[in-house]
Amino acid sequence: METAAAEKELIKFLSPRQALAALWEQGLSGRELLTHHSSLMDEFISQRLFNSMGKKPSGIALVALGGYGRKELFPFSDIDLLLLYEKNTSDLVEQVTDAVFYPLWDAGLEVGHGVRTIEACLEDMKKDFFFHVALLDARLICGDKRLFTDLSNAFWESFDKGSRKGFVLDMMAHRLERHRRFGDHTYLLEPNIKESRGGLRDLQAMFWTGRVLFGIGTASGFLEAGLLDKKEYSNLEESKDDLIVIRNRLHYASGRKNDRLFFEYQEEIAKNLRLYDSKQALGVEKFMKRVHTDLQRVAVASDLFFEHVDEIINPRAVKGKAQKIVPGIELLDDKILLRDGELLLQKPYLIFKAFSISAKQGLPLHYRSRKLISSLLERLPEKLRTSKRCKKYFLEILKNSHDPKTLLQMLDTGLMGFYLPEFQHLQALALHDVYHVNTVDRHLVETVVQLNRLKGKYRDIFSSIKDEGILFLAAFLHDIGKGLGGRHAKKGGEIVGTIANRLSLTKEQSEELGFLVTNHLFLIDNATRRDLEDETLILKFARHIKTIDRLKMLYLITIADSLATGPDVWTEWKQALVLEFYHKTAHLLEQHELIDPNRIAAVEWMKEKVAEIIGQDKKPQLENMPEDYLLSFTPDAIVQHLELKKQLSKDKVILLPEDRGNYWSILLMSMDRTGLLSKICGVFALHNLSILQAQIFTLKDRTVVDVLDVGTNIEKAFQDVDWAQIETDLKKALQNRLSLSHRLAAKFSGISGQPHKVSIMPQPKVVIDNEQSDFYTIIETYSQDSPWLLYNVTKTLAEFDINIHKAKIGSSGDQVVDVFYVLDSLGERLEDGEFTKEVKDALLYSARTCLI
Amino acid sequence: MKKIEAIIKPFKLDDVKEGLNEIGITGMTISEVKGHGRQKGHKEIYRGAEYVVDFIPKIKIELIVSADIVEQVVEKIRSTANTGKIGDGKIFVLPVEDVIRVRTGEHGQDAI
Repeated sequence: METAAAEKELIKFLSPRQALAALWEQGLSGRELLTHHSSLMDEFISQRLFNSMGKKPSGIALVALGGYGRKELFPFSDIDLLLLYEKNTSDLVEQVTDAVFYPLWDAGLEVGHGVRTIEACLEDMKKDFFFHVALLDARLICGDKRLFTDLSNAFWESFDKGSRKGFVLDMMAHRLERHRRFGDHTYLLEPNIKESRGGLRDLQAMFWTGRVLFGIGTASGFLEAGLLDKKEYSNLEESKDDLIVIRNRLHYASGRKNDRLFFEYQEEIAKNLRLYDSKQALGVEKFMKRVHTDLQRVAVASDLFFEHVDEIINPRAVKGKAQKIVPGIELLDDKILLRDGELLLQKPYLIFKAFSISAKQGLPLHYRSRKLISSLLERLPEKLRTSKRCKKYFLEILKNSHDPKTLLQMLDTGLMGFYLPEFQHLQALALHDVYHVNTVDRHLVETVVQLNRLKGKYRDIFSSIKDEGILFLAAFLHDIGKGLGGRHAKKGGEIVGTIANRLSLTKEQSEELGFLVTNHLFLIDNATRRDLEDETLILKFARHIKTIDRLKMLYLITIADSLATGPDVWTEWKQALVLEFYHKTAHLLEQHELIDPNRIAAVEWMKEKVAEIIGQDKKPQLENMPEDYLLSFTPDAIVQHLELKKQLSKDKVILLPEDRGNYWSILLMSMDRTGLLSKICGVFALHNLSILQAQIFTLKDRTVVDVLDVGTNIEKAFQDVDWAQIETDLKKALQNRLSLSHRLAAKFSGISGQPHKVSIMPQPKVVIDNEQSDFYTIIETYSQDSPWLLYNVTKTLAEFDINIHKAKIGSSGDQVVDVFYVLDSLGERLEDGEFTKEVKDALLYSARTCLI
Repeated sequence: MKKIEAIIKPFKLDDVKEGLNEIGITGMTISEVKGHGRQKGHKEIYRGAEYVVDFIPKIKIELIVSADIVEQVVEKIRSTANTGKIGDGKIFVLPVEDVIRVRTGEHGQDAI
């Protein structure tokens, strides 16, 4: 062939292709495009053969196989050609390949080819399953008709010799393998519309198997033979057409033979198909919903078909006998069977009972039963939705689904959508993020399954939950608000209210359900984004959740939801944070007084009263004040503190004593630092003031507010006390310009006339507790009183650089009881065993060694 | 050009991002990492069973900036991530040889 002529052929061939593209642009789509493409290719090939051989050749035939044989030639598909010849025409083979194959290759087309005699075909198809399948769709393009007919007859005869079953078993095995290969989570997000479950291959597998087993290879044939009912048939045809349209666009968008709907193609094709963003959903989400609906329909139809086929070629099912479980429900060959359509319409609750048994026993429903249920959907009574019996079975299904099969079958038959109409819009709904690998309906099923699987590890928590039914309902419905625009958690909470009514839940149950759905993201959001060392915050969370029962349910739902979202979503990292949140909140919830609504009301009342005085705009300042502090003072006092706070600076101390008759109450404000309390105690001791009671508070901005009730050790009247001097000494001490140790030693040795001697007091007690609070270490000291005591104890703590955040100093009987809420120099609790022992020993020593 | 790596407390991420946005920095890589250090892990005794988490969840932020703004960026991260308590984290500054934009092939400053 001369180069110029070859080029001319090339151009002549390419232009039909370009014409094809142009036609597609103009709207030729779907199957028409495919058949048109096939015709163009047929024409080209026939022309080439005619040019080369002159007239109708004998002993040579060009046969289309596979997709090309079916006249389903996609824009960038392979062209599957078979050159059939006979022994006496083998010398023509080279001439034909030159004429036909080379131009195609030169044009850059992918041509799968084989050059075989009929015998070779029959040999090879025994060894190569895919070739065997390709031959199923063989179609004569041009050449010797007799030769082709001989091949055809031989091919179909081979089946008569008993290899039908083997072929079908191979087909089914390949299908499973294909599902496995193209079924992991990445394919859920970016499906391969040819090879994934529910893709075009599944359709082809159905029709190939149909042809071999029943001699029927088209959807309409299936319909006529009763293998599909009317609805299934129309769904299938619609979805097939849609998938073809989408695949065409995908090939053009990719510019090559690509069947994978990568994200960027998803967006492009959505635009092409005029699916635009709206308030409810992104354009690409609308598109993917369409894709998943198609894939689902094909998947369900092919699953049902192959179950049917399985029964036909495996005789055991025929031999087995159906056992009655209850009237209307039978067990056949490890599948649950519902046979009587009329009975089911009379007693529709039997359908739910069947699914309940299915969940409990882990047995699927027979495919015929599933088809039966689907066909009855339109005639099922609406009162099924409010039936108490069905509710009972439904909850049983949820609580026993350790495997997704039962719930998925309920989805696929359409029963779920009937029972819970709110569920319908979730079907095939895929959200456009890389996070959620499942469509929402499937994600909810998976959440329930994961929840069931947590029962082992979290046995303690499960056993203490009041109403497991509500837990599982919440898990199943938690995303029901998705796809409606707006915040799905809040929306979901509203929707479940309707469902709760229909299911005749009690008011309490309905509230719990609503709360769980509205707040299903509460734990994970706050655990990862808020400061879990902030006690005020955790208290706020605890009060929002209100009961430990709710917390437990939220906790379990959080874990199940994460596990069901995708692989690697529930990481150790997240687990650590959620666990911390859970424990801290649980701990606070156990302290009922903190959750007591009266306390909450009292705090709010206090804040409101203060706000009335300082102005509502300043109210946010009060948010960070410890509740203990707010509940210990009058609103006026708090306002006074806020005023005084403005005057505080690093070395300044505010001292406001008040005469209360029996004792003097001193308000002291300062900026926090380690050792502050010990200095206060020391200075007071120096001035003969003994601390009877005290409350020590540290505010969030490091302001210290102390209320110290003091008495005097010597006869002195309130007005005779040199408060100014005390204030001065305090300031000096804070500036480290006063040595309290030597001053105190000097003072007290002077009084007794002897250098101070160590005297052992009756047994003091020191308790260091890390259980009561998650945020501080609590140190309690019990001892007999002495003027030195508090100074000693607080000085010891200061030596360890331990910071006192809050303290209560008082007495119980004849004992002085001091409770300190502390953190170490790094801001952490005292958890090191050795360090704690050291502190305890030092405190015991300091409590014992005092001067009388 | 320098690479800045910052290990911070998880709940500070939004604050740090906002702070960086304020000075014109929007591009960064964020990962969830496990920290080991002086800060103690969470330990809880619940119904007799001890749960010990032996790491501290942290967030790692990575970004490339031109050398002249390194100090400004570091200080912004430090101040927004700071709580004053142990476990606030650390910031590392590393030299960078080159930065290439995958889409266009640009090198250096233009690629940041």
